Amino acid sequence: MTTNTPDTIGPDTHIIGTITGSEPLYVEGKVEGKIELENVLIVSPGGFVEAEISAKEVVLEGHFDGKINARERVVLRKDCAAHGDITTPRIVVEDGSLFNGNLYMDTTNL
Amino acid sequence: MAETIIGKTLIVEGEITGGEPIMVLGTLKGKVSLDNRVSVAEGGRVDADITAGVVEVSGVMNGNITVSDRLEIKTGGRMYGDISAPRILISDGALYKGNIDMERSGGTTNEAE
Repeated sequence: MTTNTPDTIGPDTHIIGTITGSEPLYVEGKVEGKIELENVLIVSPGGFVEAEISAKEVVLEGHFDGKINARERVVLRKDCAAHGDITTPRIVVEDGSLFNGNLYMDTTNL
Repeated sequence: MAETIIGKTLIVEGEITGGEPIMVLGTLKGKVSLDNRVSVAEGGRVDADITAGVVEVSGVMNGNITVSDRLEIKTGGRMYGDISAPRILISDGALYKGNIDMERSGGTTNEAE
């Protein structure tokens, strides 16, 4: 029970505050505030994140509102809804995803 | 199974509400209110006031706890803070410091140490 389960914010959990860590994090519930990860952040379908995000990679399958600063990549999956600013060197936007906001592609590190 | 897992490297600071169990293997600071179970696993550290159904402590727990069902401090668990619970289980090898209030209808003096 302690080793193979990924870090998860469950669908019925609501966190207001700051989350930091170095393992992948799945958000199935709601997070408001700030997220700083050394790894990948996955906002699952049904997940809702209203936050300032700094991570290696961000995969959006649910709702997002705020700012994303990704060091490697942002993926907007089908049926996701994103509002706000995204800064990333690489991005994937799938057909059927929704994005309103500014996209800054910082290529200095490539 | 819906569950919130705060892994070993994760630090969560703030307020957590919800209806599903939370397992803390990392660090949690702030305030927790849920109707379900909060488990502070071995290696986990919680600095928070908790209101929940069940709280299980195998790691380090700092803060006041109010539970509607039971509080369990397991072997190796360390708990500092006041407890308000109808049922309490403390295993051999567990450490606890604080006040315990098992009378839910009131009438107890609530003095700080």
